Amino acid sequence: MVNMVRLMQNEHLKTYRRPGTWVMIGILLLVSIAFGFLYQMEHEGAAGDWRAGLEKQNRQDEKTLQNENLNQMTRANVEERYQINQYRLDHNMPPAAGNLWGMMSETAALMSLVTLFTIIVSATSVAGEFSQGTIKLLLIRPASRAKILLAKYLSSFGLALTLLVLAFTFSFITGLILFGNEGWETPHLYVQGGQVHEQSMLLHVIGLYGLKGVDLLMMTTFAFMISVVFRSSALAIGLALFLMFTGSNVVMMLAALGYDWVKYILFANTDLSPYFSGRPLVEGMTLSFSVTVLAVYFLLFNAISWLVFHKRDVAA
Amino acid sequence: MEKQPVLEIRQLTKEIGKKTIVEDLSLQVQPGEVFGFLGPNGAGKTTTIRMLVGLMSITRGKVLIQGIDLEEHFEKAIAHVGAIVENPELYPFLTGYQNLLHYWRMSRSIPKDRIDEVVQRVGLEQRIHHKVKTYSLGMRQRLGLAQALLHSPSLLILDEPTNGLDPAGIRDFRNQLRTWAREENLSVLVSSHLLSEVELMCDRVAVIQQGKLIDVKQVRELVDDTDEEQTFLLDVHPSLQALTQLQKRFPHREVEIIDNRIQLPLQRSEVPELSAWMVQQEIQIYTIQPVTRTLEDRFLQLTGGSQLG
Repeated sequence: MVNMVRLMQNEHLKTYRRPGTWVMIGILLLVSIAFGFLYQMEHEGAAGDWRAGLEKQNRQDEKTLQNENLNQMTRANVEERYQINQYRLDHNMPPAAGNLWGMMSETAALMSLVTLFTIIVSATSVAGEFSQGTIKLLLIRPASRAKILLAKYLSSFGLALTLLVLAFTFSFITGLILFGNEGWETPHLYVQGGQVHEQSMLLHVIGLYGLKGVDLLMMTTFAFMISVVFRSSALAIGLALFLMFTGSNVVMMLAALGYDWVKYILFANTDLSPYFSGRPLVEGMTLSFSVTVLAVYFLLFNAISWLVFHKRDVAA
Repeated sequence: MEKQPVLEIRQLTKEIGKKTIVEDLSLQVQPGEVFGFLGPNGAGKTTTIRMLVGLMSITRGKVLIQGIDLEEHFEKAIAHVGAIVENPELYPFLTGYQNLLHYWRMSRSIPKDRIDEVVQRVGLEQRIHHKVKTYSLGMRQRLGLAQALLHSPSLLILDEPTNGLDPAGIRDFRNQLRTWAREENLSVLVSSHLLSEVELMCDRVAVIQQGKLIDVKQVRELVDDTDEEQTFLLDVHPSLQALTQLQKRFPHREVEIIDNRIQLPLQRSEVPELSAWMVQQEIQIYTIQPVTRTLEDRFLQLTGGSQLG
């Protein structure tokens, strides 16, 4: 009955009136800019003659590939690199190191920061109502609990999107200022089916950000659930971050030990990039398998949040 | 024809685990009535109120608001209710106005001017655009009332509304509540463990203890129940002699002497006869004074004298 848009406006109001939100936005902007300068320092003087560099590496790779005992994964990786390097030399396409696109590919790491901040905001948006006691006046309105929870959930991602766009835009502007538009037209190269393909660099970078969005979606949903169940933002933030940073390492260790069931763990599926370049964690895992596992976890987390929030007696 | 009650509670029960917090509670609040909900701390007042506003689930029984079942049609029923549950906890990082805007967006078809109207009503015009964290408790209480009145409810539910207010604040609050109830045509349900407060504010009072309804009475009825015996204080001379004589006259009553005054239970109608008799006995009478029966006496009597919070 009460308009969903109005409920989201309310969440928006509460998010942006908290000083913490602006501190987070400030940090994100500073880090985006600092990232550009660091990247510039790292690649200063390394430019040199890219042709010579690539030719030298290809000679090395040729030698490596002659080695009969090379394991299959390394061989495949080296072959791909060799193919791409040769393509660059043949078509006069310098690699994107030390230019705008090279930097932008690296800044996809800023998504971790965006995820961190989104987790903080979404965990606080639920648990904060409980700790401030404002939950009481919030729930005695003609709006069902499901709607209130949905408004909070959706506006968390509204903030995530804002942060994402800000991070992207600021590093892009920093990159343009520091490196100019040199190499603007150079496409991204990748190998598929033994052939080298070209792709727009902009799309490639957006894709990199997008793949990290999986982590953001899953960890925010997880933090949201914890904060609904335990009404503690500290616990939700702590647990979500701990899992986000250790989860993939633990999963990799287990996979290396040869446990097959590891593929059903959430963190074995949050990184989808191997399906586009590289090898999956466990042999036989496919993109559709990972997407299915993610969907199951996603529905599970949301169902728990919804059930608990719907049933909860608000005491104290 | 009988008017439809604004609030009707039918055999309301709340169990948490094996513990029964509220048991079989039934009562009705009529339009325009200020209804008190009285009981010691832990009697189940707050639990009942939380069930009335949908913060807690109902184990058994029904709550009807303007005849609408709260559990079945929560959004429709709750639209008629304005409430403060315990302290009015508002968003400290928002201004008073932003808080009201927030709640305004959550109610249906209320013109935005209504925000200014309630702000004026509670007298917060001066500070409404300041952040709530700078407000005093009294101002927060006013803002809490403003949010409760915002959507022109027909039932106002206040849980221990004067907790933490100073005496002047309590008096202000009481007067305002009466005025609003009249001007906004509101029914009010006020819970309290303070008898004096309920006595001054309410038309009718329900007394609950250990989750059970003990009695529902008119406040006036509770305070002076003329039929019954009540305690009288006699300032007479010589008091000791009077005591022995009175004990002889009323052998089955408790006649005591406290601070040189005689205390005994009497019916009002016995007083003239008794004074004539004492004059005959040459006892000098200075005063005969009824000890005013307060709601407190009545309450203690009803609840068997258990400790008040």
